[in-house]
Amino acid sequence: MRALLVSCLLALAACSSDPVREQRIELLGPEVAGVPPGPLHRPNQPCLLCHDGDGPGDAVFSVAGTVFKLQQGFEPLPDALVRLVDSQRRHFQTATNCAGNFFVDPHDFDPAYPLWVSIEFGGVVIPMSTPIFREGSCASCHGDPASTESAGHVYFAPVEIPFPPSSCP
Amino acid sequence: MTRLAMLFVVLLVALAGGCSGPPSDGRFSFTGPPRASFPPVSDALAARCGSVDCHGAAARNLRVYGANGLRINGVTGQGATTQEEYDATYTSVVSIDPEVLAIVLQEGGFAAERWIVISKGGGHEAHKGGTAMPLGSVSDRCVRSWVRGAVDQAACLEASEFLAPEAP
Repeated sequence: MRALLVSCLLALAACSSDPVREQRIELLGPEVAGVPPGPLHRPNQPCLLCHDGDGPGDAVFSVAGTVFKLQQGFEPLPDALVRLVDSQRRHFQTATNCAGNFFVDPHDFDPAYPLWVSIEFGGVVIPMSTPIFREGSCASCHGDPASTESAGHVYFAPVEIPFPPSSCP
Repeated sequence: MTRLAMLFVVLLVALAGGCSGPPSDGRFSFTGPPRASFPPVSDALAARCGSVDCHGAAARNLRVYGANGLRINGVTGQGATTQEEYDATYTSVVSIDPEVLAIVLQEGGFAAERWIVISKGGGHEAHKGGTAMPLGSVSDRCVRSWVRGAVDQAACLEASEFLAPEAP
């Protein structure tokens, strides 16, 4: 009887895994040396792959991503405001950290799609040209390199401009 | 043969008939809605349906190509939608549920919600992306007008600019 129960539990556990998700996470590779899992890790990777509540990430996000300074290059843009407006006219704003990462706790804001996003830095507001319809991870559509199926990473300026110094190390 | 056995045979025959689809090399031909008037419709579809997280993805059956979504033949970035992309979107759109689209066209666009593009977009049937083209909205009017053969340019133009709602 006990063996049967254990077998059933094992079978259930096996069914609860998601091989597609696991494979996609594996393809992201290991953590970068010197950057432990946390708010600064894995910039420009699809955050919700792990952090949607069903994945292995402890923190859960409704929307998350990374903002870079320029279209070319991967220097993060800290202290940018990320403004979100959903189809029910609910507004929310958050800011990027030293890795350029931002993330939204669904308890604070769980958007009703479509969702419109804009980035504000130094008083300049750059709206995203299309709304988001379902995907909470910026990098799912904004992965690098830009291609016929990807818009490339999220950036503030298309060409080199002077940015004020930040407090980031 | 008892009545029950006969009923069983009839049921089997009906089931076999139900499982037999069209031949794998079968072709369905029809004259689609006008391609020439399609670009404004395509722009509306691109704004409402064609983001990279929805129908602007190569894995979708219905693929919408354009400036802000899926590009074609090595084009990247946000340059204007190319004629080739309009062609590809047109082919994809008219290839979705073509038998029903053909009937709708023959009937002058009457009850266009029978066609899956409008039925799903309008929320008449389950759609992961929700109701992207509510009944009577500019996007709905745009697509229906194309199926009727006279594109509502104003509706399509308005539908192609999907702006954030203003603060309450």
